[in-house]
Amino acid sequence: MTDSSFTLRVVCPQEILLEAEVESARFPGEDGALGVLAHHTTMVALTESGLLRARTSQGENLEFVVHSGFAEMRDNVLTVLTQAAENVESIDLDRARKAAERAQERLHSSESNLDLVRARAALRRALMREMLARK
Amino acid sequence: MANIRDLRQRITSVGNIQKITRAMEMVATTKLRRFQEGAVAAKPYAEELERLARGLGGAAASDPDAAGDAAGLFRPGDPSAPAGILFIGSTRGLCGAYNSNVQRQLESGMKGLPQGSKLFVIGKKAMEHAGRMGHDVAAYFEDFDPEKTRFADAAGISKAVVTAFLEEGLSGMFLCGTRFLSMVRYQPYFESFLPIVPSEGELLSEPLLEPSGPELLERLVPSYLETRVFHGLLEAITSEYASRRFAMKNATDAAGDMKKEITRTYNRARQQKITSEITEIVSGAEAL
Repeated sequence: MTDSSFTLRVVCPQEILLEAEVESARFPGEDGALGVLAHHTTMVALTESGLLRARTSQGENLEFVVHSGFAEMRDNVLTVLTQAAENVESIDLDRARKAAERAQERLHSSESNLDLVRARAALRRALMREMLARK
Repeated sequence: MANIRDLRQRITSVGNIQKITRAMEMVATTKLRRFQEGAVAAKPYAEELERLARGLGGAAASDPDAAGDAAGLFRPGDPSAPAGILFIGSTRGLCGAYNSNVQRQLESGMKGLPQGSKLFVIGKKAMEHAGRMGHDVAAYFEDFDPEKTRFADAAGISKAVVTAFLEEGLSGMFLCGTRFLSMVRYQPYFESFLPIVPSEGELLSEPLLEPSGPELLERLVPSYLETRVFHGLLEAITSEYASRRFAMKNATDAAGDMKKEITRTYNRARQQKITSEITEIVSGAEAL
């Protein structure tokens, strides 16, 4: 580990998606993107749906879609805990689009026991994935 | 000496039972593998979240002005008030000592609790046990199917339990289930769920919070509790299948032994019959 790098971990309920040495990372915080460099002070933040970007020590760029969750920086380790995350390259555009449509429909249907918050979150997630995959 | 035809029939029926238990063993093995993957994969997430929630909780709990539901979950209730227990058992039988083990754990755990403590029950077998023992059941999550544990189910259960804790003035909430250690090891546990105990010592020293503390806790704490219930459910179903696999393996082995034993008796009887027939024929021939 060089002095200017830190460990980035992306953990979701299904797996530990990533564990890598990076030079810098940017993730979507609740009030806009937050950037982190090595030896950042101890911090806990909320994350929203959006793009997590990191640059590895080898100069490689990593891109992940993350969703609502938590990010914690301490002892030079940035841990991003999120309900769901995926590598941008592995997003299936068709699937993302379908999920977005489904979410739209659910929101517009007049189902009585609809969990509005959950449906909105699903829609936001789906749209985000679609947007990022299309780039 | 038993009748030869009876013996033959018993060999067949024991063989049939063996086939069934072997099939059940294989089904359990496959399902176990699937559940195990889920349970093991969910573990790092659950642990990280727990560390974060308990680490941050220290600051929240020590702040007397902290309002909101999240802060309330760190505050211990009146120790003489009844407690609640989320009791996780199985819905299906034929899983060996799985249920009786967790039931025993529940009984010994409840001994130390005030009278009138309430159960929140998951699983039909667990419910039957609660009925037998005459425990006070506050809720029975009947519709929940442990085989298809989804995060949303766990979130719902967690919410129900948290609401009960906050509104009914319970002294605490406990979790009684089975922890999955490996394919052959699973252990019942009875542990505290609420109030959340902040971790001591290695507290995050004045962390930068984004957004502010209360707001963050308001999201972190429910997430943590939901994940803990979710993970608890996954571990329970995994343990259940590990136990079932083991029970079915034992049953298959026992059936094999039994079949061997009866076959031996059968062969002896058959031999004896042949011998006596030969003797009869020979003596008949000699008489001529």
